[in-house]
Amino acid sequence: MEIRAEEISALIKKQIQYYQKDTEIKDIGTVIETGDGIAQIYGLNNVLSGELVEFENGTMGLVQSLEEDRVGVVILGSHLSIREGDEVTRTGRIMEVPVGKSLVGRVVNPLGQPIDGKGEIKTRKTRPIEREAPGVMARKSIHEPLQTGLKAIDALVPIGRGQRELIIGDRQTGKTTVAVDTILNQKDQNMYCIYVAIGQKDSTVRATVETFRRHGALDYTIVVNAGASAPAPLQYLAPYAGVAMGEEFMYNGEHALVVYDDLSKQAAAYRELSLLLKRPPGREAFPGDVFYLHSRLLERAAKLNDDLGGGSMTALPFVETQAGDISAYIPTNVISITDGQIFLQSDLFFSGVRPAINPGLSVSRVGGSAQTKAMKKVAGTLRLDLASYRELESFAQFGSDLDKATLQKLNRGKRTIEVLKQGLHKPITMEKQVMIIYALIHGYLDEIPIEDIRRYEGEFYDYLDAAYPQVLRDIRESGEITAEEDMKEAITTFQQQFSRSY
Amino acid sequence: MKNSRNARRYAEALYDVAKEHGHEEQIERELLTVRQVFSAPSELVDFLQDPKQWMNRARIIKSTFTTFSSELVKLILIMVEDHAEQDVPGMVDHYTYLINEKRGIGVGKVYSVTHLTPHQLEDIEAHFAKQFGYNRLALQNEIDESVIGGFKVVINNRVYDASLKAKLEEVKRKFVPLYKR
Repeated sequence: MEIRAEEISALIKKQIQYYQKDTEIKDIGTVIETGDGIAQIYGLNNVLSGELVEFENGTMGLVQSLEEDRVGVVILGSHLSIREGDEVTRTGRIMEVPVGKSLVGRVVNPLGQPIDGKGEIKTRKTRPIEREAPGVMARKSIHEPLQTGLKAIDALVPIGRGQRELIIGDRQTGKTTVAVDTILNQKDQNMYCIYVAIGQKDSTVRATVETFRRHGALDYTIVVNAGASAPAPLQYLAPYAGVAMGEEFMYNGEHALVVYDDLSKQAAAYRELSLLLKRPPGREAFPGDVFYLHSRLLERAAKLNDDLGGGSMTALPFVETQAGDISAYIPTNVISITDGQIFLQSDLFFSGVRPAINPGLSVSRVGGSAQTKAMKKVAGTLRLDLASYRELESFAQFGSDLDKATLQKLNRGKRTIEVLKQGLHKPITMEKQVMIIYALIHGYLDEIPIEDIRRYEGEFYDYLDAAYPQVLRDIRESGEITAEEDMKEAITTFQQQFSRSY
Repeated sequence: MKNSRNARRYAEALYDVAKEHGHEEQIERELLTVRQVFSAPSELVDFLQDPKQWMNRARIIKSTFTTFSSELVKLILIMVEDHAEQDVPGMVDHYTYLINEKRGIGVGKVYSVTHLTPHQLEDIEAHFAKQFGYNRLALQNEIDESVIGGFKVVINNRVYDASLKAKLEEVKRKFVPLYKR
């Protein structure tokens, strides 16, 4: 956008012509106490909860608690230059963030200000960060798949567009990797991604952004960052800023994916804020409305009906557990809000199962209806097979005298686990996932040594690309298994030329 | 420790009692003296806060405020007993506020760079009384050079800012949108 001098003077001329004295009586207040990013204000009698107020130095504040003779305000920005006795004015507005496509590819803070040094964000559109979630009639059942590119998720806990799927696990179990891989796989999927980093080290966020850039994911991704050094109000606001940006896409009939990494840090920031605002602490010292904090955020993810454009917003909230304890306060809350969870376990992670998804504790309550028919067909029994393998596995450790059927089950189970392993930042397309799982459940891998399975898989994909692209295309385009004979042929011909390592 | 909320509670109670007996205005006049005596730095407050004199507090107050209405003296006794001596000026201010609200008089300040002539002040009072929702305004002129030009009326946490400074701020606000600040 270019600004010319004539345009500006024309604009000012117009303004002079229609200039009206619009000075009004405003409500003001006085700062009586400030510190830790919170200010207590005397006055501001008619202020609304959630309204923006302006301090003398231009810093904005967000009204949080209304008391008899004072209001508690969280300061958005630098609180160092705010002093006792400063005047505070009402603005009559609620907080908004810039939204729209010009934010794509940028890294912004929760106020929508760019922090990536790439200059100004040119957008005139804004959206309020707090907004009512779409109602019952505005929604539609989830039916389109969101391909994560991870075999273990797409086969066992499928995610649909508009779903809210929790990713939960201890620290260092690969939670962020799951989200990053999912975002990387959204390339050319007509999907906008918003990655909200809350309370993370800025260096970690930098590395994640760099991963996005290297894989070309920044072309459709917005990163909202409230780092560990950001004040608690900004960490608390970050998810709401992210969801507002996602809503812009959803209400315009497009698809968005919002990743909140992670909500336990946001809850901790909100706890800090609430305690400073002198709200009574409850369980684990969280305030009473910490459930509402997350429910009103996640309820805004939806699949809209066709009258509203049929857009969707998928939410992938993260929660970090302490030593695998999913019955702590925040995990149970968020589990009950979401449509399922993906549970990542550290002992699986360290035994080499990556992504370390525990198929027993992971569920997707609505994703099944969004799975493609082909995937549903091949992955239908996978979960049960895995469960019975886990059961047998511990049992079989005692003796070697096992009957043939049991041995066969153990064999298949080991191979299943091997197939579900996947390398870092290597998303796999749906049709290839279908092919390998098809080969697995029909016993083609039973004769392949376990050490060879990963190599087999990689070579199999290359072979399919080279020799049977039409089989892949059929599955991709129809979403169904149409030519089973061709699939079998592809597998057997590949099998014949695969060289085992022994 | 000052406690503005408590000060207001005392004032409301006193105002209610005074209204029942119908001498709000007499108490209002007496309170002006009380405010002066209790305003910091106050020898009386220091004396009342001295633990050595605690036994004499009631006697001293009774003998000092002999000519005052009994309700007022009783209230001061109660406040001293509650260790709320420092809240007395706040109590007086709130009482004045309550009685002025009842009368429909808005008490406030008008800030300007130079002294306003009595005529100008009258004009402003007459013009803004309706807008602020009062029958009459009682404004006090204060000099504040930071307003640059024009004037600024402040009455009970509400402000009409017709100063040059506010206009400049407004212009600044229009140039720099909220999310870029």
